Amino acid sequence: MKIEKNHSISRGLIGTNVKQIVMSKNFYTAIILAVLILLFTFCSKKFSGEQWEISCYGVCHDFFYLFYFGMMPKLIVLISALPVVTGFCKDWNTGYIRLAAGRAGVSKYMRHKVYACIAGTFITAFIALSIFTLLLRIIMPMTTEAGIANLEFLYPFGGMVEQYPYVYQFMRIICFSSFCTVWSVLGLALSAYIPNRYVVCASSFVIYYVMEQIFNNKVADYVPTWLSIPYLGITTLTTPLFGNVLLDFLYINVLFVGLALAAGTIFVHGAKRRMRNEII
Amino acid sequence: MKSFKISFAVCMQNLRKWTGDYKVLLVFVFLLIVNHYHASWFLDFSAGLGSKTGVAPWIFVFAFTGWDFVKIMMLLPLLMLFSNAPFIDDNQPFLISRCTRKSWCFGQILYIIFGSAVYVLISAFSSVLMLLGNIDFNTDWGGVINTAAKVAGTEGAVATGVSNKIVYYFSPFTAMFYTMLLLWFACIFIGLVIYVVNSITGSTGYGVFAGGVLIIFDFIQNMMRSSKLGLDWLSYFSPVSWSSIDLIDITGKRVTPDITFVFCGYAVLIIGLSVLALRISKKQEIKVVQDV
Repeated sequence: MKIEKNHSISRGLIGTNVKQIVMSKNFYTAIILAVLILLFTFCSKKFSGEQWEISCYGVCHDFFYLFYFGMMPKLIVLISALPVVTGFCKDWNTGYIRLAAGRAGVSKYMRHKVYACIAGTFITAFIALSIFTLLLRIIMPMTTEAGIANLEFLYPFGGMVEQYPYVYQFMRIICFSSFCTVWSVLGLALSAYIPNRYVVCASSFVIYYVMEQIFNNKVADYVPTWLSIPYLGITTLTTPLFGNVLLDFLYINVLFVGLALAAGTIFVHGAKRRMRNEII
Repeated sequence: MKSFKISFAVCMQNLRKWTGDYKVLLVFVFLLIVNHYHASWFLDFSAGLGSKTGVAPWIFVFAFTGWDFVKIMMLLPLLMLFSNAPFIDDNQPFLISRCTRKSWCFGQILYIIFGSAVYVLISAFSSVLMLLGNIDFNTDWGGVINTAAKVAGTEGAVATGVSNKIVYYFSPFTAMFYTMLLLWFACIFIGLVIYVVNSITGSTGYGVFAGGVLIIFDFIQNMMRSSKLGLDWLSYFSPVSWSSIDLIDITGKRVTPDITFVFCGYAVLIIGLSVLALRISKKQEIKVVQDV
């Protein structure tokens, strides 16, 4: 009887969290914003006639270029975290946390916040990137011979472009969406210590930027390929990972979900302390 | 004079609140990141050239002349800074009861003006800060920027906005002065738009949205201009774009706004919005907004 009640509360919590995310206008705003930013960047590069001849290379190639240069991945990380990362912060500031955690138990409430954060970020990034891919697909083919010939940083999935361009694109989107969850949960972890909406919203972007700079400038030379997290996230490696596409795909996603859960434990620890009034 | 002193006190009180505000801290962290991102291109370019002298500290000028995200990212933190306009927190009802509505509202406008000035100064300063260790203290543009201007049109140089026009027609001091001045006007304009829209709608979301639209319109205008589609006249309707000295017409062709148009345009918009804000404040509902 007790186990059944626990399951029911769990389902209730997950349902509430998912409803909070999917029913909020922030979720749809984030998706639209991400698609618009991707489209703007794409159009600006196309119109400026900068370095790439877009029309003859195809979706896979242009998607890669958008993600390899500049601020784009950071902005998508920031936007995909927006609908979910402030979940704890809102509950704490409105006092809703007393009701929810009191009913479900503190640990369970915290764990489900982490799961909701991971799921929400993943879904937001995945939908936004998929819509963008479909929009690009309307105006250009998935890949062309010129595109395949010009695809640098081929690993780990580049070999699939020629035969299975849709699978290639799908895998990249999933990997990047998993990558976004890591930074989003890190932002959530910070919210346990600083429950300020602005700080929490921006934290995923700031943490990602700072970590990437440190990695590129100080660590990159000493770290093996399978731990090059920024490059695994945007799936642009110069050397093979394990040599098997499926294994590489699984490894990347398990690594990111593992990192997200590790960040989640920091959140649970901090949030529990906050609930016990140990953090002011 | 007494009324102005009261307004100034209101403004200074708002500025003093910055020290304990996470949001403001974050705005400046964002500025540091954007400036770092912008400076890193110059540093990479300098390293690629094998330059041992470093980069001249005038790269701030080029943050507002390229089509990349740098300009948007420089202005987005400003939306965050003024997002809670008309800045009615717990303390403001007590303040309003001690001074007239008019003085209070004028104080808030002064806050936008001074806040924007601090924002611009910190932006410019942080762009220099990001070059520390690689600065070529030079009153000229320096080798790296000159070379970047010569290869403008090739990869990267377009993105950072290093144009021949600026390097050829402006001295570094003039370019910095005009960039900072025009950016200041643009920031005041955006701040006042947020203030007025938020005051009319009674919410904090619509003002930020309106400010965002203005910034995005600048991006679209810039994109259209570089696309050579013949839509340069769009720049006349994009006040945020007037902050790019690259856009200002100095050849007399009048395809884009000249400096007189820009100054007059900003003066009309800023004075007009300030008058509107003062009028709205007379009947404005004082609704305390918790900014967390």
